[in-house]
Amino acid sequence: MIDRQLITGLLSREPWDRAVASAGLSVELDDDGIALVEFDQPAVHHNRFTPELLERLDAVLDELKLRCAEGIVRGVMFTSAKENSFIVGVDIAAIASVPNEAAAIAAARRGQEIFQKIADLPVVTVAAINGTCLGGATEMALACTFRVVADNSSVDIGLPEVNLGFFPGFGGSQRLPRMISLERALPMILGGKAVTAPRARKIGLVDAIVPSGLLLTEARRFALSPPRCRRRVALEDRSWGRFLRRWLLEGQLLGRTMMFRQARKNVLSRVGEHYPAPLEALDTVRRGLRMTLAKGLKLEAERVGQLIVSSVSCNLVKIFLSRQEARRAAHATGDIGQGDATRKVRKLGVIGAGVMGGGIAQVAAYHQIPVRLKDVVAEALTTGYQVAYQRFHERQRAGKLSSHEVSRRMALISPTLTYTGFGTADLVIESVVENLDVKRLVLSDIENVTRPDAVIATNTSSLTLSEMATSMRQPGRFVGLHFFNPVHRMPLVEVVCSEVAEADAVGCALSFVHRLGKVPVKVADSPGFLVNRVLMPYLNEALLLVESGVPTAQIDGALKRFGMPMGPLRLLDEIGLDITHHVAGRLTPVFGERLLASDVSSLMCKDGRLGKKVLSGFYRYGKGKPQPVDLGGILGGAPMSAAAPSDEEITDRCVLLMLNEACYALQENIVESAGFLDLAMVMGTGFAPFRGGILRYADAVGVALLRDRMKELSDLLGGRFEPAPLLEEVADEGHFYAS
Amino acid sequence: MPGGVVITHGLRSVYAKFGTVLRNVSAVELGRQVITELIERADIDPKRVDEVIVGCAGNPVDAANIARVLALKTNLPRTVPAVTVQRNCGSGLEAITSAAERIRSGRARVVVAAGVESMSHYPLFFSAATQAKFEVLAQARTVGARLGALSRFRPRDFSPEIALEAGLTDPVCGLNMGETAEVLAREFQISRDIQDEFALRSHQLVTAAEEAGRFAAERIPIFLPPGYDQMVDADSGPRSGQNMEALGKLMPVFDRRHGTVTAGNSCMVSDGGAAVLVMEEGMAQELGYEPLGRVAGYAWAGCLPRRMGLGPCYATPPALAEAGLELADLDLIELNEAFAAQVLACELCFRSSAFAREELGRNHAVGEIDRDRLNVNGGAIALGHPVGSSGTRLVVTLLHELARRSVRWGLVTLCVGGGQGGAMVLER
Repeated sequence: MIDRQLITGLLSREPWDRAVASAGLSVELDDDGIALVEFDQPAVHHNRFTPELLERLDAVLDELKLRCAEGIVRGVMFTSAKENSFIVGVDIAAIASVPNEAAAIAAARRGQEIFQKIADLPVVTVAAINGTCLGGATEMALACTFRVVADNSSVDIGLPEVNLGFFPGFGGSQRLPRMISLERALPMILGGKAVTAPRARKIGLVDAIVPSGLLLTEARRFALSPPRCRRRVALEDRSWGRFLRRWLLEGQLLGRTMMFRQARKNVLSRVGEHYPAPLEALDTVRRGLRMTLAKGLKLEAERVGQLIVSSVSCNLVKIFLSRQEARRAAHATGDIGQGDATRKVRKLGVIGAGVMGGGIAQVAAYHQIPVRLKDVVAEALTTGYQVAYQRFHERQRAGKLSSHEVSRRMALISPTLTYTGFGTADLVIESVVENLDVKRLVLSDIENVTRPDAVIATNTSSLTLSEMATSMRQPGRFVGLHFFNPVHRMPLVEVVCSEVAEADAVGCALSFVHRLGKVPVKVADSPGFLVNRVLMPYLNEALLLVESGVPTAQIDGALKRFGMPMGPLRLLDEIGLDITHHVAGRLTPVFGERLLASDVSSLMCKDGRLGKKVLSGFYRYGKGKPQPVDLGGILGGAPMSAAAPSDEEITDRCVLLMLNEACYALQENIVESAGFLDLAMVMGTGFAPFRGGILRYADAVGVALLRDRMKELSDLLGGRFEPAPLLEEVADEGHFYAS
Repeated sequence: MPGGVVITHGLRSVYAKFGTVLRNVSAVELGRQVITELIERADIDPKRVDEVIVGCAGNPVDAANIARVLALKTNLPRTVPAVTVQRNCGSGLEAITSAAERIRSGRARVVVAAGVESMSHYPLFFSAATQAKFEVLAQARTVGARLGALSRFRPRDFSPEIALEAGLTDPVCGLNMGETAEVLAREFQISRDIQDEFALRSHQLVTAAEEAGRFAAERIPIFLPPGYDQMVDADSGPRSGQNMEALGKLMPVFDRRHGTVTAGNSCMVSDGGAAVLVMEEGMAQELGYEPLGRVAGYAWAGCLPRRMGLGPCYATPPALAEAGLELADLDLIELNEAFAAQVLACELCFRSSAFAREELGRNHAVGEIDRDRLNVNGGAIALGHPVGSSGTRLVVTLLHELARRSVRWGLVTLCVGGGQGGAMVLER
């Protein structure tokens, strides 16, 4: 069926009919015999390679091959109809649904086979890259003869697969090193970081950067009269010194061995033992370079297939998908109204120009939203500016923003000591000191100066909305937007909905968070909301361990090996012990029996060891690596427990209490689903992403087993280990997740 | 038929002596911070603004139409047109009178009017002769031609001309602004002591106003780019410890031997900005604003360039006539202090019936200026005179003082280099 349409389509030189276009792909043939293959999947912002789209591409390529043989088609161009986006890679949902290793390998082989058909076409092929080009799209471009990119700033070309626990499986790990040299290919494959267009040109990944309006014209020129020099030399290599270096490092066995050894060392120090993908990729590249391309591709498919079905990759993919789900849901709620009725935040108000306030202002200004920033003293305003400028300056030094763009964005923040300028704000976030009376006062001030339809939000971490809103006239427009510190780096924002919150206000807050590029998770209004509440027993247990004489290094070491980005004591230093102490105080009534509050934090506070901000906490901060501090003096020679606990016991004690609290939060409906709970813990605390979150971890180990372990600990250490009712229930059924 | 013209909001930046705390803040940045804050304080929907008019005497070379640059940088919709106006020292007042004319003619209802000047950023440039040599060099194609072109340069070619100096010299009468003040001092026999006393008064009044916090409502701090993590929140000109002895020690600047005009009894060369929101009366009502004041009348007038300091005496009578007032009816007067000698000469002319008869063609003198109502919070001698900004600042200062004293009529007037005067009567 399809073939006939293809033939008629090509022969009549008309765009293909709707059936083909709706499959996300159309082909047009111009008078010069250049075929333009345009990707345009309906009803989405970005093209993704679904299995269907790949099959369609395969059919098109077969057809093109025939036409080439007949001499009708003399060149092929690939492009996308999406604005500033080429193809963002393989559909991750499709990867998640791969049933077993054999299927994964087969899928990779199929992709390779299709892209090989591009490489095998007897005419010149050109990828006309008009925007973001990731994963499978980059691999497709690599199979083309030439790559031409538009000069707009949204062109990022990369192979981010390692971030999801596998590596490029459609030929990327084999074609890229062969094309742009090992030294340049390894960071892209192992690090998963995308490169900008100018960088891509410099390393020889693309052949030309052209004005975006002329992309197809220039691509067509490449197809019609390809440059004669077939051997590509990267711009960087056009000097004798660089050429020699390349020859020594890559042309010689010794150089290559050295480079692989160094890359291995880098990978191990960066990702640690829990993430096998980069090392596997490295090995595949190394072995692949000694084979023919065809054999290399076979090896690649086998390795990638194994990784895709590994638990690490499955968990990373699931976190990725629930992140996408959370953001999509937020985006959808923001679209409720139409035209002027949409609750789009055109201007933001921020009260309190501290580290959080300044951070929020910076993120908003970064996304081009004007901000009115208020504080009570002028010095605080300069602090807020300082926080913002530091971030912008970092981006500038990293080459992500020009100095002009930085000053444009800085100018979006307007400072004030009075409540002027808030009448035109659509959303006002208060981020003043965590004191109930002050917050109430500020909230009533905000109510007086804002439009009645403006949304008011709080960035509180320890108070509840209901107690803050007691004196508000319209508590329906009051929500919580709990950003995490540092604002620019932490992807999670807890969107707190009180019982009286209006859907409109919540929708506005959700879509605002979405616009900032962050992940919103809706949580209920309860002390500590979700993340802090679940984190608190974990941190407290670490303090209890300190109290019983376990060395700092052992506690942090055990949990880092479990997969946490940093140990609990190091994390306490980062947050600040005074703050945790305050939050713990607020949460104690909620926990009741479940929390045996440790004295360590108050002792540390009394001693002035507040954490990293004063350079002294559980660690001493200065030049070089933070060093653990001997806590003997502070603990007053606490009795050393008879037998030092093993690493396993330390991990169990801390993590199981976290799991238990997660169950309480779930059973009290603090969060909608187990998926969002896991997402929040991974995004908000860095909870070992390869474990897929705390509940997935429980599922993987076996909930019943963990329940029994808790009972054991409960007998040994006290009632705080008594399993939550939900945990008991799930333990009998088997799993938190259905699949 | 459009209604009256009112000013609903007004503010100014801190003023700083040139080359000091604001030397790294361009006129664009000064204007941006001032206008942004004005719009924020008014809390007005930017879409309501019909035009931006900015007075600037020494336009930055990188922002030829600084008004348009400011309109875009302050996040006004790109559909809002903007024009820069230039009437030397009167530019800041010209912005307001232009705005008033737009509104009176029904072409606009809301106008942002501002005056900005960064005298620290006035450039140095090459003389025309040197520029010609550079042109020859640029057009030279061969090595020989280039060497030939280069060989024409002489060391003196590289000594720059100073735009600030050139700008403050009248190209018609050839006198420097300070020299025009000397002309008036001699003509009206104004002694060095009287000038210094007036200068001292300016410093004392500004200091008193500062101590009483009277500038708090009208003045905003300037945050220093690029990080805005430092802030200037005080005027740098006023000297609280200024005294006659210190003033007496200063050498005359413009005529070393016979002169009386010193750095101490002249205004300072400065950086600063000011802005007001000008509206049609009905619009202000619609938006629920309580105006700071209404524009009751204004006038521009010309005079002899070498006697440019007398400009206020020519512009004030027609402005008063439009408002239907006499000089004595005014509760407050802001007469720009370009030079002490010039202010004092104006006082004499206002009072002189001979001046009225010969120069203005009226039968009786304009009137006596009551010192208790003149520049009650000091003036440019202490605060500084960022040329294009002062006209707007005088209106801002006057309106805030009218409100503080709960009085009705005020006059802003200033002399303009090149021989002009401007005056505006405001009613609270």
